[in-house]
Amino acid sequence: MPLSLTAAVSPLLAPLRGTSWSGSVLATGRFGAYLSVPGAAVDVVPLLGVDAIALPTAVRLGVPFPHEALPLAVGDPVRLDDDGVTVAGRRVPLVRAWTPARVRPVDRQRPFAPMAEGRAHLVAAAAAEPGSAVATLIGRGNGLTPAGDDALAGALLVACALGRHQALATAVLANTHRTTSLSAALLRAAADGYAAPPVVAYVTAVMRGDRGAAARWRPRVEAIGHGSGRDLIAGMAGLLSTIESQPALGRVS
Amino acid sequence: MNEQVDVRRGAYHDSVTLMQVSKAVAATPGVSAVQVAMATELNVEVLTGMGFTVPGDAGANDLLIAVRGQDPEGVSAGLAAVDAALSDLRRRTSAPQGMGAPPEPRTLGSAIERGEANLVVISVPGGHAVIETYDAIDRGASVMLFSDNVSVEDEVALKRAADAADVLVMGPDCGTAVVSGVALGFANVVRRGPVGIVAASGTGAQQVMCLLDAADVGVSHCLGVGGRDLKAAVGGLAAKAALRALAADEATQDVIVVSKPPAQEVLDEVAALAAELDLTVRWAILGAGRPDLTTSTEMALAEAGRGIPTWPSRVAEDGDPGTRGAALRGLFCGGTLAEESMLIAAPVLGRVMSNIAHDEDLLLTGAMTGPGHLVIDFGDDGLTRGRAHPMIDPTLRMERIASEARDAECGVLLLDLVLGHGAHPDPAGDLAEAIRAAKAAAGRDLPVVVSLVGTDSDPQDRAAAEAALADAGASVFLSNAAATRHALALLGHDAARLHPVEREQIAGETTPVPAICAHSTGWRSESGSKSGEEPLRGLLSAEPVVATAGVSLFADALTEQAVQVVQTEWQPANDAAREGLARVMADRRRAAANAEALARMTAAEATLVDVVPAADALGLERGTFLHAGPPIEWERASGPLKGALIGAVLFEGLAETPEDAERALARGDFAWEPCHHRDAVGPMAGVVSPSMWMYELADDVHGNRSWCSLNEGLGKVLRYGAYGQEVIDRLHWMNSVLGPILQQSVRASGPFDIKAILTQMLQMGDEGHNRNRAGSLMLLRELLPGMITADAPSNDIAEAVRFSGANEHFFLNLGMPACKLATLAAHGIPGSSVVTTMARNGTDFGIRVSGTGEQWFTGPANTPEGLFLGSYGPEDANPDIGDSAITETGGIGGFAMAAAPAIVKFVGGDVPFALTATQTMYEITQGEHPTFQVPILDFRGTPTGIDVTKVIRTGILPQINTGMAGRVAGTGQVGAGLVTPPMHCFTGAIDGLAAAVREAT
Repeated sequence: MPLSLTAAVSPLLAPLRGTSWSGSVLATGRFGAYLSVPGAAVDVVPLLGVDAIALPTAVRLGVPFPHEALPLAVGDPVRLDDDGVTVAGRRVPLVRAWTPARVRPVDRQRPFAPMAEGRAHLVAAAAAEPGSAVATLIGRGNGLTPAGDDALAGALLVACALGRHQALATAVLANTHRTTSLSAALLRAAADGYAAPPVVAYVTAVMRGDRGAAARWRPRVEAIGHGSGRDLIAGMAGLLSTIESQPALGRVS
Repeated sequence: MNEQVDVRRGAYHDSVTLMQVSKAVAATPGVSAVQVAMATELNVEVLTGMGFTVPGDAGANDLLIAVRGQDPEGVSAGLAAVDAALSDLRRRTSAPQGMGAPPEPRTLGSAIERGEANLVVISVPGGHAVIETYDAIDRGASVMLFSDNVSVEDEVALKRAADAADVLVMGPDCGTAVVSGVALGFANVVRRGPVGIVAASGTGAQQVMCLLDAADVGVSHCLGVGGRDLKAAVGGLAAKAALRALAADEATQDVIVVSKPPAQEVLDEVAALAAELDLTVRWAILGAGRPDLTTSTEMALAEAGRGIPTWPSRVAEDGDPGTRGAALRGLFCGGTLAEESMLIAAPVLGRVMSNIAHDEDLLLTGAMTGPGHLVIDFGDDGLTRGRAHPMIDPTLRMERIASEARDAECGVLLLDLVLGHGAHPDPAGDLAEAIRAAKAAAGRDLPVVVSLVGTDSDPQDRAAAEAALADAGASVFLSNAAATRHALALLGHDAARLHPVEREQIAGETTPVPAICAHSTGWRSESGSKSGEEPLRGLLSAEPVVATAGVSLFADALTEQAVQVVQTEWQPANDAAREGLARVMADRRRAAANAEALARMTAAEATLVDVVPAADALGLERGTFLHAGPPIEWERASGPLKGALIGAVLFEGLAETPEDAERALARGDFAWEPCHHRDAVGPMAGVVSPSMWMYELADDVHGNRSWCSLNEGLGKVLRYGAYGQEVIDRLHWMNSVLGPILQQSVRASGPFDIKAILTQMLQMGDEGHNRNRAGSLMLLRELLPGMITADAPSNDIAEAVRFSGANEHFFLNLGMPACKLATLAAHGIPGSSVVTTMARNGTDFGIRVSGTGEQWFTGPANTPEGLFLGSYGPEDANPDIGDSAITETGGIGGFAMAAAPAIVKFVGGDVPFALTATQTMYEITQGEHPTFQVPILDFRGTPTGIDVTKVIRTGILPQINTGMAGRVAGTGQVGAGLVTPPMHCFTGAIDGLAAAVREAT
């Protein structure tokens, strides 16, 4: 008996509720597709198989992306409403809301600065003087999520765990129009602490000073995208370097 | 006779699957009856009741296939259809796989690991469920334990273990849970909202959730805790853990506790905890003199300032009460619903007999027939052994409905029907038909009242189900209490007397249950502290990722909710080993002890530090010998071992002729014991005599040493049991020339890091047991400078170098003691079920386990299967022999076969087999070796640390690559191949471990 194809929707897509949206397939890959939904508050929606990294704004299927049942091509029309997604002529009902992973304020902070290369110094500058420095990072670099954005997302997640650096979040949110739609959505999610599960686990481990857990999760973070994971770690290191005068913060070589 | 009953031994399938097979096959033309089921007592009874004769020796792990046909062709067609359906199942479960793909997870722990699951659903038979639950607890996953038939002692132990691991055990016999909007087991689709539910009752929780949903109030989580949790014996262990978690949960504002009659003191404790947590708790607790679930829900709604709607109902027009029987017959799937109906009915009717009565006097047994008022719970333990729950398989209840229709005493049929995930996809259709048939067959007015528990969002659609039932002439209620009262009214009892609490009275009243009244000041304020480390490892704020073991229906229901789910391809463990296994799994030292064993095993070093005679190294005295494998007496010794001992006696000059040597050995003139008793290892026969030279390896991390003899090369050699003059001459040459030169080399330019060579050779196509080509060359590279500059005639040096270089197994005699050092480090950890020795003497296979000390667990050695040299064939091969299985014990050899695909040309099999062999071994090992890696598996560490419990649970035996010795003493090597230990070693070991646990506690 073939299972019916269903999906769970991210609560971060709540601003889309109440309207029936038309859009198109923006990009496809082994793990799913990005759907472009022009005019919506979140205007790129990842439609992912269950084995894909769970991006916090995604619509997630209960099975690995079924390329045979859902043969998607870039430009194919898409409809998205409260009850389902229609792609490739097939209706995928949205049966529940899934729970994206979220960085929460860490009680006993004993963070260490993870080893990073790249943009850490820029992020450190952004933390010190968010307005102008964020402008130099956001939307810059290669990729569907530009490297500068990945670094800022890492910094935002650390800020969530620290429970401060609101100015950084404000500066980023004020500049999301300067980057790609997908990246903007992920930055807005990061400002609230939402990220892919390995990233959340890694940030939490770093903030708790749990080096064992951090070492286990780091390769999983580094494996995200072409360079996204590494840029994200650089952003974390950058923000953490601004608080290294704190006695609790140790450094690792 | 046109019928046949087949017994398939040890062929396990879950009850839901078998129900589907039975149903599919029943439609085969020519088949009049078919039942495919596991041979549990209950199912044997059912089959006997159907007129089949079941063989007396069929046990609960055996599959029964009973087919009755209209003629012999019908029987054959039925049996063929069963086979087709079963093989179709196999095809579906073994999904299309790429070359050398890993097998499906075979233990729940493996499934948890693959999916990084935070939650598991266990629905395997009760005796096995405890084992799986411990596995989940040890992996840090919370458990929804659907299985029943779990003892209360086990329940308490599991829940204590769960507390210590900061996870939740929901159950046993937990039918219903909802975690973050994900329905587990039997659960309705309800809106999400602020009310948390803690439920010591499955259908009770479903009733309350559905009522709340009908009142537009949502549920944050519903944590089932099992029907006994609030009894004195369990003391609310899970309920308290659930309350703590809900108190810290952002989505939960207040809580309703649902339970069948609990122990008052436990309820008081739970209430005290709620007060301590500053958590508003309301109570829906069944019991004599207490409000029913509907009333309790109404009170909770009123207290929270919510409106109470009119609960959905449809009342049928029933005929003249005068023509009816006087007895109430309640036939339930939901235990709590049955209990609630009895509580409502008993004060009105007097005696109500039931299979779940608390009063011995009222207990229904046997055929469970009248006279008088009866309430039967078809979901009770006694009616579900080896059968699916009646919410999935309604057969037994359907039959009963028909027979009640024929019983004139039956005045009203009171039924429940529970919708939601996990339940039958169209239960109302079948039930409506049964009701229609019953009414028609009754020949009298037979009112039917149904409490239909469900929501309009349920997969079965409550509104449609209600319409179908009403159409069949039944009265239908959402409230089971209302349904029961309607049934009583139909029996002519005064309905007005039946309402214990009037609606007007409810408003403003607090629930009068626990002695200590919890805070009931309305919804809790937002200011409550909900940050910090979350209880239950953050279960309630994380996306549920679920691993399942048991009924595949529950996994399918999760997939339909777009939940990530990993199914275990579960098989029941060997029945004889189950009790011991359960005891070992329950040992709270085990997880840490095994982790420690693996850590030590992989941290052990192995450096070649010296080459010395056995007399000096091991204190081996003249006339004493070492041999491979577990201890053995002369009479039972195999040909190769006897031959090697004869050769060693000749070599030591203790006898003139082989015949003399044999007589002296048989007389007991000499002593022999396993190499392992001296921390040494020997390949094949493994015979070591005092004069022989040994490699000495050191592990400075753990302060251990181990030894192994020098390799004699290939062909006719002592280790294969040959003892001709050429063999003895070579041994003498090794003693006088090779040994001293190697010693000089090691002392001059050593020590040499053998573990580093092992690490490298695995990346160069060796597996370290039967393929040592790269290892031998690397070893020679280390030894050569010291050999060449040794103080010896250049002819001797040249011969020693040639001899060493000519033998591609030269390295094996160093890889083995290196693995011995690893396993030695892991040995002797109390509670550890990791295997530290696997060795064979050509007759017996023996293993030793870290947690059971020096004890050997033996069984008859198997004969390897593989490829033969020259004209030799299978009849020439001796059973498995040698200490070389220490390589597999240490995580290489057969376990690293994927690193050495070329080995299949030597031992048989094909390349996909080599890949699959390694990947399968992960299912029975504690973990992965950090430095021994398999390039083709993306440098995954080799599977290391065989866990006895996993071997027993999966039935997967360790894969060993080995050489084959000739059966006749003196023959030498006849081939190489693949072999496994006998399962008997592991069942013995599990009993040994269980005995050790008993001693320790």
